[in-house]
Amino acid sequence: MRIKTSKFGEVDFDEKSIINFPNGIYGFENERKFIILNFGHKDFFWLQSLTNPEVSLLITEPFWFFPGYDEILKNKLFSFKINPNRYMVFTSVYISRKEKRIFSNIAAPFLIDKNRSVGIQLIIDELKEITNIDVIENLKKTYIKKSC
Amino acid sequence: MLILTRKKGEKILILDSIEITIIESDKNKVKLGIKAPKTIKIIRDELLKNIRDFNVNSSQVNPDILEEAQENLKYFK
Repeated sequence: MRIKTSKFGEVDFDEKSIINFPNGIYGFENERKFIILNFGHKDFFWLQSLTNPEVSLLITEPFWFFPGYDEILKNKLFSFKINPNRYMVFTSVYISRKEKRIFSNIAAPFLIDKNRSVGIQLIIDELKEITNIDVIENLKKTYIKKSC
Repeated sequence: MLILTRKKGEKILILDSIEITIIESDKNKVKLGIKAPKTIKIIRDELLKNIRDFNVNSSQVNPDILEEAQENLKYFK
């Protein structure tokens, strides 16, 4: 299948890779169908809407810059009786234009059920103070801890 | 909007399954206890706004900016 996207022009994809977000995502509640695009970056992907070519969020899997996230998410999902292993986890990313600082919203991850191709954006209330974690600062802290 | 005045300890019931209790209140703030089924999302309004705004900003990132920012990450990889 092929769609037009405003950032990447025309993009070909497999129908099987379509992810259904029954409730949309915050800020784009009417967008229900997405695909995940990757252009060779190891850690960065784009959550591209199939119904609005302009809606394309930069996302990443947060574990590489936040090693403890796995635990936090597991605890949260167990409390909903959800098996964390069934899901791919991404967090939205923002990069500031001038300084190129990289931020990620780890308080509201996108969870995608691998088998059923269904996605939701889950809010982790306990992380409400960290809606925009500075990725590089967090990496620095992780490295400092490791070398102590 | 339904406006109610409640005293400490008093409750409000919504549908049949949501119960809000005024736990404490003072001049500047109110502490509420909310009982609801786990399937019902309860969220602070400003948190929802932050999340929405972040998604919108995230959607405005251009691929060239990602390329430039990747330079900053090279030291850690």
